[in-house]
Amino acid sequence: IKAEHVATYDIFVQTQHPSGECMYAFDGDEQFYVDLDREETVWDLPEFSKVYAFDAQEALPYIDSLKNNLRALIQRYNVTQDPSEPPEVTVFPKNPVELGQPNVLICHIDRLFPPVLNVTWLRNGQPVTEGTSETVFLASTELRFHKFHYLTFIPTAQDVYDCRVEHWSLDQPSLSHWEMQEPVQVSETMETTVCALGLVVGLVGSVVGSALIVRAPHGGHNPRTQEPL
Amino acid sequence: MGAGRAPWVVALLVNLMRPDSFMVEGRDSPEDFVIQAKAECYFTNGTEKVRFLVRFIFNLEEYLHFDSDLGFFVALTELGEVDADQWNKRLDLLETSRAAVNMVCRQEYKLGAPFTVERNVPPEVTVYPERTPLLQQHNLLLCSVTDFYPGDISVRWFRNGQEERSGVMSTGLVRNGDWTFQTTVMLEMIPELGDVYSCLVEHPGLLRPVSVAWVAQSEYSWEKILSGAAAFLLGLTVFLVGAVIHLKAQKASVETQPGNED
Repeated sequence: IKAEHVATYDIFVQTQHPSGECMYAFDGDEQFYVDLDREETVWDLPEFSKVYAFDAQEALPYIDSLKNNLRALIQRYNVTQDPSEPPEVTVFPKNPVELGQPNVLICHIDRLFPPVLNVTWLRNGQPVTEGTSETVFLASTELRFHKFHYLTFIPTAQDVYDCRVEHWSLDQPSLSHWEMQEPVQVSETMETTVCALGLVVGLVGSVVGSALIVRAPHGGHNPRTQEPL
Repeated sequence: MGAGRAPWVVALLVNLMRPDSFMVEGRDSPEDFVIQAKAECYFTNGTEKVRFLVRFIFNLEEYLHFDSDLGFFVALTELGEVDADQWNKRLDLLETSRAAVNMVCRQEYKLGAPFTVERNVPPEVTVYPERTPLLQQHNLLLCSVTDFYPGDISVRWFRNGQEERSGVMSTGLVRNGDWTFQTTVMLEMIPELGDVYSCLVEHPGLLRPVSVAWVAQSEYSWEKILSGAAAFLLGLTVFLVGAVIHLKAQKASVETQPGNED
C-alpha cells in the first residue's frame, strides 16, 4: 500500500510468553506501548506523553477479547503451528566508532515469528546486563515481527561483543559478532611525524650550535707577542 | 489515542467475545499460536487522502479485514467467514469502522504531527577511509551519516567536483529503532595526489546540503613536511656553524700553550 505516512495500532496475543502486547507506531517507530504486567503506558520519547493520553486500562479488554478469539479459533478449526524460520540478526554501532568514545551497539532481530525470544549481550563471552535496553515487538514485513536490543559501551581495541539470540526456530542459540576494526591511520600521520621530527631535530641542532658558538674558548691572544724583546 | 478516543477498537474487539469462547479451557501446550489485530492508517498528501485498514491475523495468515476503500468486512480465508458474515450485518459496527478515517486517523495525525510528521533531526556526517590511504592503492571511502529523522536522505559522492556514480555502495537506510536512522555510503577509489573527494548530504533537517571533504594528499600535509624539513635544515646549519667555530677556537687555544712554555 503506497502512502506518505503510516500509523499502526498493533495488538497480539499468543499462547506462549509474552502472552500479549499492545503498541502504537508511526512510520515504523514506536510511540508507546502498554506494559500489560504493570498495566501502564510507556512512551518511547518523553515529548509524546505531552500530546497523547492513553489509559493502559483501555488496552486490557482488547487483549482479553483477542485471547477469547484465539481460543475460539483453535477450538473451531483444526489449526497447526506455522513452521518457524530463523530470524535475521544484525549487530551494528549507532555512531561511527572511536576508541574510548561512548557509543551504543544495536542488535536488530528481524523476520521474527512467533514473537517468543531470548536475547543476551555478551562481552568477551560473558553476559552483560548493565547498560542494556530493548524495544517491544514491532511489526515487520509479511506479518512477522522485529525487535531492537541496545547496549551502551565504550569501545576498546580488545573487547569483542556478541548478541546471542534464542528462538523457536534455532536448534541452538545464534551468536552475531561485533568487534572494533583496526583503527585507520589518518592520512596526515606520516606528514605530522616528519614535521614533528624535523622540528625537534632542528630545535636541538639550533640550541646546541648556539651553545657551541657562545662558549667558544678565547685563544686569539698570543702572550709572546706582548713580551718586550 | 486518549480515553474514549478509540471507539472503533472497542466496537471491533468487544464483538470478538463469543459465549462459546468461555467454554474453552486454557491448557499449556508446547506449540505457540498467535493472533494479531492491526489497525492501520495510510496517509497521502497530508490528510487529503486517508485509508483505514483493520486486519486480523492468525499465526501468519490474514483471515479477515476491513478496508475503508470498500466499507465492509471481507473474509480472506475460511477462518474469517463466520465473523465477516456477522459483522457486516451490524450497521453500528460498519458505521463506526467507516467513520474511523475521520474520527481516528485524521485526528491522530494532526494531534501527533508536531512530534512525528514534523520531526526533523539533522544528520551528522563523518568521512573516513576503510584502510590507511596510500597513493595509487585501491581503497574504500566511507561516508557515515547518523542520527537523522525522517528517513528521507540523499548521499552522493563527488571526486574533484564531478559526481561519482560507479563504484558506489550503500548499506541502505538503517533504522535504529529509537526514532533515528543511519546510513553509510561507500566509494571505491584509487587516490591520486591532489584528488578531492566530497560527500554531499541533503536532508529535510538541514538548512542547506552538507559537504564533507577528504583530500588524497592535502597541501597542508606538504606544508607540514616542508616545515619539518626547514626546521631540520636550520637546526643542522646552526649546529654545523657552532661546531666549526668551536673547533677553530679550540685549535687557537692549543697553539697558545707552547707559547707559554717558551
